[in-house]
Amino acid sequence: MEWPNAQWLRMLHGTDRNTALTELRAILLVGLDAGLRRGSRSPAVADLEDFVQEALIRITTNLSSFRGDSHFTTWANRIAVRVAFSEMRRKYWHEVSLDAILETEGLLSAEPIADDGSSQPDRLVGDSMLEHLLARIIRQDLSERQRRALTAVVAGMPIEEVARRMQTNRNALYKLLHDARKRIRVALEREGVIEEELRARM
Amino acid sequence: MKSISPSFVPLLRLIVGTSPEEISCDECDRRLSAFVERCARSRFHEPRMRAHLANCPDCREEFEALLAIVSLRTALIH
Repeated sequence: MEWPNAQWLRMLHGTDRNTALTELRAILLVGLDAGLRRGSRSPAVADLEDFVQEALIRITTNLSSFRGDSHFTTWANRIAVRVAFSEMRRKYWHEVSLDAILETEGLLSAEPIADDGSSQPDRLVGDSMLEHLLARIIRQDLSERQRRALTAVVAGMPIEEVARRMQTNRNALYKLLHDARKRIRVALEREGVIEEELRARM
Repeated sequence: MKSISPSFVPLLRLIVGTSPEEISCDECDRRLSAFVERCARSRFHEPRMRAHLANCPDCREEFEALLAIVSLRTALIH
């Protein structure tokens, strides 16, 4: 049975707080177990308990931000999921530097073709030419920060971990990446590359 | 047409999925609980959320985990 949202809030604010916390703790443990064991990085039980403990602290200190547009338990599970993934990403990637990723990532290893002004907007690009073109666009049209961030994310590093290494936050890094993607789209259009040519290679 | 280097494929997906306006990770996070509940009930189409989740691997990972949790709770309760 699911308690109504109002009951959760009443209990967490009142004398039944410990009863509510015990119930919520059990719900979050079952939830994280189900939500996280799907992936390849299944956490240990002790880690799950640590995630839930941290989540309970955040939930109880942020009760006023619950807007009531979902079940309270969904909102609480969302917080627990974010806590868990943040910690798992940090542990998994802690020994990997951004420079190490950038050195091994193939995006920038393609030799950029020179822009000699003779581009033919109506031509269909070959695979090799597209790689070289993308390499040139990444080098010429993106800022150094955009280039580093995009290369790391394409190589598989989580946005949150790239942000940590670039002394920013996830939100700002997503914006930086969005601007970079838009610049690449504009540059590809300028070179006459149509979206269907990209889709055909995905 | 599929012989492009594998390292370029994720980049192509990101480029193709790019929209002029995209919601931020914070906005996605604010909407996620209600969105997941709607998704658990049916195939719910909300273009701005879908676009963000397609382009943000972190938010997508969290969405998929939360969807699994909510689907399990829904199955247990009903």
